[in-house]
Amino acid sequence: MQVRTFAGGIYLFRNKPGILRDLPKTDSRPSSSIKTMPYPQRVVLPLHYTNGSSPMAERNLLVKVGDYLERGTKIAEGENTLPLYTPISGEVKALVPWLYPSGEEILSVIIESQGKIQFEKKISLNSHWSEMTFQELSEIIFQAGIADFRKIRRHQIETLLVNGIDEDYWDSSNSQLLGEKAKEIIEGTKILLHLFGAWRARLIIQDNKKENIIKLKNLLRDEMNIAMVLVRPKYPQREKRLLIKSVFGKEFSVEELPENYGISVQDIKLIFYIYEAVRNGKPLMENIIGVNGSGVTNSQNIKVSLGTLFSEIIKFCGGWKEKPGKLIINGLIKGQAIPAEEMPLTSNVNVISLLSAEEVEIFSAQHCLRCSRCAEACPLRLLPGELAVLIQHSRFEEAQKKGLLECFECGACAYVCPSKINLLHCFHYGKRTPYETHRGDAESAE
Amino acid sequence: MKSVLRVSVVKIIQDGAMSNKFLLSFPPHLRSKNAVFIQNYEMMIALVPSLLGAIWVFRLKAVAVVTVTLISSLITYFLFGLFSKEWRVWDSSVLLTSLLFAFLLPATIPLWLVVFGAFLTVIFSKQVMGQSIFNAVLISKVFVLFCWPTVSKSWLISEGTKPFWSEEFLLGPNLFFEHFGGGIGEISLILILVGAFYLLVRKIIKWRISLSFLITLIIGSFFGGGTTALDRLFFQVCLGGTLLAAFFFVTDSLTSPVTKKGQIIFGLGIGILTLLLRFLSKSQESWIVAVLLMNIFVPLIDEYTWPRPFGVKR
Repeated sequence: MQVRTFAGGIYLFRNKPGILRDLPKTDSRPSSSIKTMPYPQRVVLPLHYTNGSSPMAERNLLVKVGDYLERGTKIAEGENTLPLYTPISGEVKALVPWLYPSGEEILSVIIESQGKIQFEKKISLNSHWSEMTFQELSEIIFQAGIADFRKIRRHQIETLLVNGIDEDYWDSSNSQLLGEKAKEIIEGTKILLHLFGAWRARLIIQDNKKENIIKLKNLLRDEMNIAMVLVRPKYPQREKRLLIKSVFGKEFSVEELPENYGISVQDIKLIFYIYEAVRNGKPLMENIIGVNGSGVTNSQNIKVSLGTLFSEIIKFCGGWKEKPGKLIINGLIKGQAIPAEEMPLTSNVNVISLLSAEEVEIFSAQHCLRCSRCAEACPLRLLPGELAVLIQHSRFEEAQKKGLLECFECGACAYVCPSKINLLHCFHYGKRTPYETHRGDAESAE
Repeated sequence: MKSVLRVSVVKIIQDGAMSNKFLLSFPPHLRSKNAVFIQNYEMMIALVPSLLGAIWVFRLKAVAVVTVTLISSLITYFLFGLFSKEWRVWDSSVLLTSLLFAFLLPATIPLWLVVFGAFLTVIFSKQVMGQSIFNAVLISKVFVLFCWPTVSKSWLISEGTKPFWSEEFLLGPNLFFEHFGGGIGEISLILILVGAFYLLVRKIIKWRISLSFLITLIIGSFFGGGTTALDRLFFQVCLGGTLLAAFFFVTDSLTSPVTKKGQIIFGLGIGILTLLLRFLSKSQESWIVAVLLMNIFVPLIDEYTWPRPFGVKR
């Protein structure tokens, strides 16, 4: 079977140059099955929906402080915002502002439970998904708090790409989910195909997970319109534009939407949650995350209730192995370090990485060697070192003409840089600094 | 500050549990183990075979030249370090540039000239006068050549020298130590190739420049430089430290383009200029001038070969 990939990128585990071992010590990939974490005592749920980048979407609270809620009760809803459900049965304790990883303080509902869950509320399903209309199906997915597909049909999507690639080398949650719930994911893919009116779907999986490949090959034997595509486990392969490049060879600019070309890329976890909602009537109350890194005692993939504090998750995974250094969400290369453990899990967190204090390195940037290693690592054919010089001299317009806005900040350039220049930081700054230019509108539209 | 406050508020709700303190920083949180000093030491490892070969042939003379170069450049470095805070940090590139400079000198060169050359190398490589666009080693070599042309070209030719185009060159042990005269580093083609192979395997140098430079010279060898084809090939590719240049000097990362196309054009340009200068000036070391000339065009080459970014329509 053909293995596809894109030009550039980095193999995190065999990055050749360098005389010393290049593999960071954090080689603790969990390969165990996905464990279910017991319901926490307390959950913190954001009243308003945010994913860090887009502006906060308001939701109206449906319950009062002091109410007793069953698991699966709708807490908040908004007209165009995904509704919020409680993952545990308990009493609404307070409504206080809480700090989130995105740096925002969001008014949050705090629910505390005393005992076990006795009853679970579900979304009522009238018929099998294949008999539902587009409106019914998209309304169920919206009401389950997963995604808003209610306006998507006008795009006329032909191809659905299911992104089953892990966040980075140290993560295995996506491929583990694919291996364990292959049947469910295939059915979830069919649901989305039905919803979109698309005629084909491609399951994209890494070629280094041999068991998954064999399992899916058997399951997909009878499927007419779902096929499996193997890709190399190169680093920013998870990125939408690079997935499309790998599978179809098409290149998209940031300004273009793949939907306009009939392609939709959906995450494998989303597909699984859609399956759970449409088949079992379960609203989005849990998230499957990988916990890894050198700092954690048991690195594993777990299914956690949304709103669980990170400190509880770390406690479930055996706590800190060594002196705590950094707590990082969403991958060690492009992820975000967060200041405290007392932050709740939200649905946009895929991986939690714990770095011990010993492994946290502080680098001081040296002069650029012009070794062009960053240019070779860049999947977008940019010249990161040269762009960084332009940004440092505040020549933003010139940098933009040379493709700065195309950068999706994967961090491959900063990873390979021998001078340890903070390239990613430069681009983050350069892309967000306001200045007048002919392409300025593109950024505000993002 | 505000977030710290908030965390303390959070803690009150959290029945007073102690929170771990984490380091905050911008991604990436892990970096490759590659570093500037590793790049420099890798280059120096690749120079070791040639150095050992030179010591084998020239004995104490080579040892003297190399040690004096290293010591005098280190002294220069620390002297300037007295005036600049930045220089007090140890920089391994001083060792590399001075070693490379020593490789271009004949073993018989007077040692005071070596000291002067090492002084120049450090000044040029450490950019006293701001960003130098020229290859520091080569420009100091040009200084030395220009001021003392006869002394700095007094190639030591050992006794059993045979013309390099003779049959023994290919058959006998002379392939290892062909004393056709030249700098310390050029004493053996095979040992240079051993070092070059190491660099290529380790992906330290910009191999595109070496490749296009060598290919240009090989093509150029059809046009002159000897009687037989093999003779011409050796004249163009192996004489005058050209092979050493192809892997260690032309590929100097600071003064060469960063784009892939640009690297090929850069190598091509050096090759063509070398050939032209060889036909015009009859100097085997014309590649030094060629590299310095092409150094001027590096920003221009980068500008014109800037790759089209992903997804951007032409």
